[in-house]
Amino acid sequence: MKPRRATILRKGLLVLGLPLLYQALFIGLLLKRQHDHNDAQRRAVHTKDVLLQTDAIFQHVLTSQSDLRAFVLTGNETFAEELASAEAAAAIDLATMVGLLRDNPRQQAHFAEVASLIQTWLDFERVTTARMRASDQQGAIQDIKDLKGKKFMDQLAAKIEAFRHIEEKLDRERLDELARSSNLQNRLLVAGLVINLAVGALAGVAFSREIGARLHAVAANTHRITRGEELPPVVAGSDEIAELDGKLHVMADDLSASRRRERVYQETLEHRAADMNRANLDLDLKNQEIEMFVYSVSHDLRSPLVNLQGFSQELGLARDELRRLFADKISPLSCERAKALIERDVSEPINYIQAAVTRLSSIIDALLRLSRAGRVEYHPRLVELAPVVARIVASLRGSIAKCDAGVTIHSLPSVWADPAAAEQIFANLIGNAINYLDPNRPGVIEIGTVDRPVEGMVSPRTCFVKDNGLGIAPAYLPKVFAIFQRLHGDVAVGEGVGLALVRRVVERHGGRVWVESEEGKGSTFFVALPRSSETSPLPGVAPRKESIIVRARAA
Amino acid sequence: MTPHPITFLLAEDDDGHASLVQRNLERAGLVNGFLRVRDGQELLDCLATQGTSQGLALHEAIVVLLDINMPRIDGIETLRQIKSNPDMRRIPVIMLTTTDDPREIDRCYELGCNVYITKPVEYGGFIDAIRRLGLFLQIVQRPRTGRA
Repeated sequence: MKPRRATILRKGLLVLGLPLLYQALFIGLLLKRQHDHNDAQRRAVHTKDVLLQTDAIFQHVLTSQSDLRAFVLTGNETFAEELASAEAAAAIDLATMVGLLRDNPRQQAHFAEVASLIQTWLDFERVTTARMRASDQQGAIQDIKDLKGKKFMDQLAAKIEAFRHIEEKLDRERLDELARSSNLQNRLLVAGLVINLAVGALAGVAFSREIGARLHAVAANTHRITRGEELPPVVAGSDEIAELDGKLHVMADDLSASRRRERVYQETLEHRAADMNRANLDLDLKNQEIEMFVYSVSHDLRSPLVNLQGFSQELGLARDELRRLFADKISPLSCERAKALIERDVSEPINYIQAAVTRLSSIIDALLRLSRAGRVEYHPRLVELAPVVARIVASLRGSIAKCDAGVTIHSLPSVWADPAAAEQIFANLIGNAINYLDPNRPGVIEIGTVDRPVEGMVSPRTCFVKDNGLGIAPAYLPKVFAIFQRLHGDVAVGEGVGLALVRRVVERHGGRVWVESEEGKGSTFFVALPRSSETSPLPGVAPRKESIIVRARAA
Repeated sequence: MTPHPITFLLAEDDDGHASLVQRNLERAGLVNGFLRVRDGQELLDCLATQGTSQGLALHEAIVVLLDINMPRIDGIETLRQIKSNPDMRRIPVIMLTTTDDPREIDRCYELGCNVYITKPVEYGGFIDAIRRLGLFLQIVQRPRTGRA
């Protein structure tokens, strides 16, 4: 069964009930007091009755005494009759007295003495009266002279006095008791009033604490909810307020849960936006690179085209002139002129046209190489660089000897790379170092390893190719790895693709390439490559097969 | 009125292009003097020594023809240096280049080039531009030559 709940109604009833209870008590006390008063009054009246009755009895006895004396002295029957009626009245009063004293055994005992005295008197009367009837007046007078009657009367008067005294004392005692109880009741009432006021005040305070303070807490909680703050524990109790606060807590929990969800969504959104921004930046960069690439390529393709176009026009003009020269008859002069034309205006254009065609073809080859470097499938493994570099240096022996250069190979690490790609990288770098040596001083080329942290790479293997050649001006350093950028165009033949190619290959291996240089002193090219498959972005053996399958499906 | 002698100073790293420019100028009969250098640095050196024994004569009117893509100092940097030098900025400059990128063209005009011509050269148009520039040059240069 459900335990009884202390609802607000019950608490209110309790607060109202306490004074009501006191009032009931108060009324009870008043009623009792009234009752006590009535009782006391009744008892007072009763005492008075007893005393009156006592007086009446005594009066009858006195009357009967005087009647008896009169009858004895006069013998007049009238007195005898009066005596008889007085006796009868006394007997009635005695009987009444017994009734009055029924509730008081002590006074009954006292009164029994009085009654027996009276009885003795009555007996005496009867004896005396009987003497008179027997015409013994002298005997009767003698009885009276004996003062039996007088002695008896004094005795009775004393007894009655004592009885009256006791009765009055009893009456006083009762009145005293009534006053005492009345006093006590007054005190009780005052004390009760004070206690009632105190209890009422306490109940009021407790009620306002209980209800008011907790209602206030609930109101504060609603404000907290609107502000999205944490709620304190549910207010104590099992009444409607506690229930309301419990519901508020449930609501607050729901709200904070949805706020949390909202925050999660927002964070996700921000993450996505950041990713998008990064991707956009990356795309922008790629776009710029492509634009730059297209710009360079178109420029470099146009240059030989200008020659092709211009010199073919020149050839056309030479042809026209030759045609004119040989239009009519051939004179020695025109022969001389024609020879000169062929030497100058035909040979030179043909040379330039051939050179332009060769250049166009080599540019296209270079573009194809670069394009292949982006597409070629690498088969990476752990490559010992020392033999690779030794092989390259050996193959370049001729050029090295021609420019009287010294090449030093320090110890080299192994890297995670495609062997052919590794060879391509170092062949380009070493080839460049030889090509751009300063002819005014003996060339010194060093190839070795350096231990350096590289941004975006975990424990890379970094090699360098250092020369004491022409060097690169600071303004050109950023362009070094761009396609078709040739700083020393007149120093060596080439398309300006080598370093672009190196960068492409290295970056596809997850590596970095950069240069430090001082114009007139020499350059150092650095290549950082992954040390093992774990840090390489290139697929291992198994994924490669997969990619072939995917590609085959796509095709 | 005889045409004023003009020396063309061509900075061009491509021999073929240089030869074509020279041929067309000669064919148009515009050339009194023609000097070709291989890059911007050489051209600036040449202008700096004008008036000295080994350089160009001081009275010579010069038109500079500039390629943009050149080793060492490129055409745009050369143009900037010429136009920011109070002694040189009156020299007319014709940009002769393979690029028709509008941004590049705007940049050259901003820097103060007089004519911008895109290669492959329509030589008819090229010669017209030179002639107009020559006329303009005569007007501009006359007081100076008068003094010389």
